[in-house]
Amino acid sequence: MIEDILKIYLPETLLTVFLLINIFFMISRGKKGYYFFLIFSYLFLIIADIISSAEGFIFLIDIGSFFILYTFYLNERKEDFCTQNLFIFAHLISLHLILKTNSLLIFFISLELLSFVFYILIGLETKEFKDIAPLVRYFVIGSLSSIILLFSIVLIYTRTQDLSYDAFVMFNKIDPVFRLSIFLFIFALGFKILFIPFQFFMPDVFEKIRIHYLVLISLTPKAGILIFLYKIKFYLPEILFPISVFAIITLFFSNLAGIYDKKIKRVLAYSTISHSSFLLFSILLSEPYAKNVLFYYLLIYFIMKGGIFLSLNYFFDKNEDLEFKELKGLYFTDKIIAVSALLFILSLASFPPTGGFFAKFYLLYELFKSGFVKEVFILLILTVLGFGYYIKFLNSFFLEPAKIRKVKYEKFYKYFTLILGIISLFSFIFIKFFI
Amino acid sequence: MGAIILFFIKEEKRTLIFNVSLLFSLIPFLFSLYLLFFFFANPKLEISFFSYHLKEFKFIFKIDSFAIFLIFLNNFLFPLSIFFSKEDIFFRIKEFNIWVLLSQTALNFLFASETLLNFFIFWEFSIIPFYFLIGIWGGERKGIANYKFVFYTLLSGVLLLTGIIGVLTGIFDKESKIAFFLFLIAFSIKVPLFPFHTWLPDAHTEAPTAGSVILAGMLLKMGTWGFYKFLIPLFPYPFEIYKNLIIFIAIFSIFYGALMSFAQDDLKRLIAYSSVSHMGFVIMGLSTGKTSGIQGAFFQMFNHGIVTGALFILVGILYKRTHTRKLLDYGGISKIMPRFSFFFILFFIATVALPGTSNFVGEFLVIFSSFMTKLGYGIILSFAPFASALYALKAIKRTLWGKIVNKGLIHLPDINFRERFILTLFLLFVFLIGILPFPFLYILYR
Repeated sequence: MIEDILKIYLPETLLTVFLLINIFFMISRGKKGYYFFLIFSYLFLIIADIISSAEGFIFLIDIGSFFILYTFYLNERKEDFCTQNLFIFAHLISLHLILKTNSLLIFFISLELLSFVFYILIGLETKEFKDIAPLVRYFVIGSLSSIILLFSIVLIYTRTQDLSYDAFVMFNKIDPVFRLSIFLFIFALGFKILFIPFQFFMPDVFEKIRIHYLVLISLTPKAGILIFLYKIKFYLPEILFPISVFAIITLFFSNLAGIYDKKIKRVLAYSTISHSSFLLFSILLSEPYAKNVLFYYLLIYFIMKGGIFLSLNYFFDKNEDLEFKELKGLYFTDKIIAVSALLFILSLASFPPTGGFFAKFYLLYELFKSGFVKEVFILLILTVLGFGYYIKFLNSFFLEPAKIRKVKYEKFYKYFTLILGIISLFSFIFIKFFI
Repeated sequence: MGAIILFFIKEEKRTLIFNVSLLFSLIPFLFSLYLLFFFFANPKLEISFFSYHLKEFKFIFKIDSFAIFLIFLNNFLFPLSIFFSKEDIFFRIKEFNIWVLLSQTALNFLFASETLLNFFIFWEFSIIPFYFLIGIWGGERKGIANYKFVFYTLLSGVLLLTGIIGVLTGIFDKESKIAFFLFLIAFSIKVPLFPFHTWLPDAHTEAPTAGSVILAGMLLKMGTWGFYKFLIPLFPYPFEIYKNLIIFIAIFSIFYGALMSFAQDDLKRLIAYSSVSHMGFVIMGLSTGKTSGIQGAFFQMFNHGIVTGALFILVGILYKRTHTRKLLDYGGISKIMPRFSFFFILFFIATVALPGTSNFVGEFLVIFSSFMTKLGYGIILSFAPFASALYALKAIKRTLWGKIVNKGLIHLPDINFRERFILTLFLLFVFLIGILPFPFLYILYR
């Protein structure tokens, strides 16, 4: 019995050990061997995932985190790296638990740990007092949503005396308490996946976060919550309809707001919200399509979103509040970076034949097949609206005369970004494994 | 391949860039010329050169006698556009050639697309090169023209994709009216038919000369090709029901385009609006469903590509020398640039479909099939060449005849050898098809 539990939770146990070793590195002055420790820790983590027969989503999140970590390590202030990595380990533990647990309580605790990690990461980077306001707002609303989530779990427990996901099945569906608890549950989760009206303060928070954490916030926690929703739908199919309605409204307002924003980070925030809303629709599908579409879309999303942050990383290092006008003529200063950025933007905007197009196409195709005809049409129209802010990247990078000075990227970093861009362009070939 | 090689050539090596670009543009031209002769010998031939199945998604590329017609036109226009641009484009030439080659490739694949999904991929992909061509090398109002072009085309893409997904999933069948209208509006935006044409005059006017040639010559054909290849065969029943509506819109577009063209003061806008009129003829021919109508429509597509392409080059030549496109700034050009005037008159005469020119064959076949469909359609269409004559004569009169009002025009140099060479090639096709249309009619016979 214990052996079985150990086998199942081997990656999480290992992650906890790595976290402790990381603390040792933090308090010891010498950082010798830290780089090797990181490489081996991720190697062992992947092996542990294989031993514990972890599902594909966990592999995706682990490999995604590793990818984010090491690509940004190349341009990172090395002395901070040890501290940041502690939080990355913690965030991985919480994500693993969210994906593995069948208990509402453990889910709640893991979600709190995840939020806690991000409060600290964001807070660490705040340099000036005036920057604290959006972060405090993020913290207050986050805490409020946690309270609501806990309250909904308590309501479920009082009626069913069960804290596993089966409690949703046991609930009497016409019971008003059930309705209230489900409403509160979805409302609280809305904060984590940036449903309307929560999405409007997110760009403010995005603006204040360093790009390294921004990549992390945009990718793995979103994926974690989406995968959780994908799992919970089997117990609680009632959430599907409100999710689709909220997703469409959110998509509309975020795409509209993105068109008028001038700051790149904020626009990237809107792009994250837009793709999260799209991803939510994959949950509406039946099996095995839901899983296949979600996995494929997430994989492509990791590549294109990670890639665009990677290609603009250097500029954000110089100026956190980067505006479109400040990147005018990027093509003239660095052709490889500009071309890579072009490939990522085209993929994010879902232009064929990029991976982004095939991810959306596959999702819409399956949605259509499942009878969501109106939804598909609305989603496609909103995609055109979304192009309104992606075109701003192309306008400033390629059409405007040069304004920025030549930047010095490490050669390896530059070519790595280009290769990733080419992968993003041809990532439609991966679809073969998911159809 | 050519685009990748160009990426590694230094920007300063201008001649090398243009030569490499021209070479890689000519290879498909020679290949398509070879295929065209192949089809002259055997019009029923179908050459399938790529096929890939991914469960329910099929990617098939096939060339038949109709596709080769447009593929040949495509590969004829692109090298000439590159050749002309050597004296027209003076900055970011490497990028210019890369985008031109990419759009040539995309359009070749689009016309060879046998299945909906790969057709859509190249349909959408073609926006990207044109976005850059207009956005970088365009005129003063390129920003707004580019936005209009991109959003109209994206909107058509959305409608088309919805229809395609519906067809692929099997939810939209042959009788689906919703799917029919989704495809119809998507293709009508690209053709463009009234009232979806408003992006066209701006895009044509603001694009560089090569961009205008390709836009008019090939991009509009994407819509008409979609009509012929997918809309009519996929939805035969709704097409029969709404055929008269389409014919009405096509006829309206023909006259509306011609009259709007007549009302323009900008020479490039005048030619742009004439495209609306000509493309109306194409849709009219296709909608009749008669063999002669379809033959006429394909002739008209080809002729429009040749004649309008040549007219845009002529405007480009004039603009390069005068830096104005306003008709009021011209006058008396025939005395200063006789060779230019010779070509100008001949190509405008061709737009009016005078016998002996290629447009005559196309318009005659379309009008003939209209008479066969309904007497009323034929009678109305018979007046279309008169409407065309209005703008053609206005353009000739205001540009070439009369006194030289603008003293700055007196020392304008006439067209050079390069320009003469390009225009002669265009003219060759105008008269070749006009006098000897039978081989082409033969390969377009079904």
